[in-house]
Amino acid sequence: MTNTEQHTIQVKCDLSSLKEIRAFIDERLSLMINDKERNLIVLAVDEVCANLIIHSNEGNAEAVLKISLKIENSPDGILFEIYDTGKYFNYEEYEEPHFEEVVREQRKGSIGLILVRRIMDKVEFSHSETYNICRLFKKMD
Amino acid sequence: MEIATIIEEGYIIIGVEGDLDASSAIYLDQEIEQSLEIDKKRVIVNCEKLEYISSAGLGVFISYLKEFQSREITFVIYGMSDKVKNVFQILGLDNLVNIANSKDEAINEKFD
Repeated sequence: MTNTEQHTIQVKCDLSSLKEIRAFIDERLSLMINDKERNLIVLAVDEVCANLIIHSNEGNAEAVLKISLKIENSPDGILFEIYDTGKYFNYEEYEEPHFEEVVREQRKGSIGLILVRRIMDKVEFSHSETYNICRLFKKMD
Repeated sequence: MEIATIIEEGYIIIGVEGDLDASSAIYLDQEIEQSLEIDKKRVIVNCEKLEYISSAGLGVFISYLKEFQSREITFVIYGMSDKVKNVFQILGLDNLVNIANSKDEAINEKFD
């Protein structure tokens, strides 16, 4: 049987909202997942939100970032949905950089999405007429 | 996040407290930049009170690795919690950065 809980938070599209987003996810998952694993899941969502705030919405604090968190006990595990109204990120065109290259070129960025892909089991970006949606799936043991 | 720098005879210790994320990483960046101007041969980051790190924080460390190397500065991190260390491990960054188990080791250990 699948039990589904849904929790939603809506925050200002500003980097100062990241702490609030992390606290929201951490609190909702605190009884289900151990500290270390939970920290990684929080990190993955934080990375996507930071990218949306910086790149897709270019620091437009008036924009709204809506984080919808769905928790399913089985069979799929945890699904996160992140909605925003900024520039659409075309994930299909994304090529993961080699980590060695990032180090060699002394880049400060480029590793957020690498982390997300290593932590989550499925990463999807799509868009409708009104929203961009990022879906992150994490299987639960 | 709070940052406090201690300058000693042969080294600098940058203490980082709280959350190192996309909103705060710039302050660590500025602190490391300034530490390079002081010109000590060892730059140490104390993570004992660091509760969270995201790619923005890792990115700051990554961006200075080459410069530390070219200036022959030993860069060492110590005091990481399991949670924080785990984030380094996902990328293999723990193999590129000198990680010490204690402040004493961070100050005195010879790293390759």
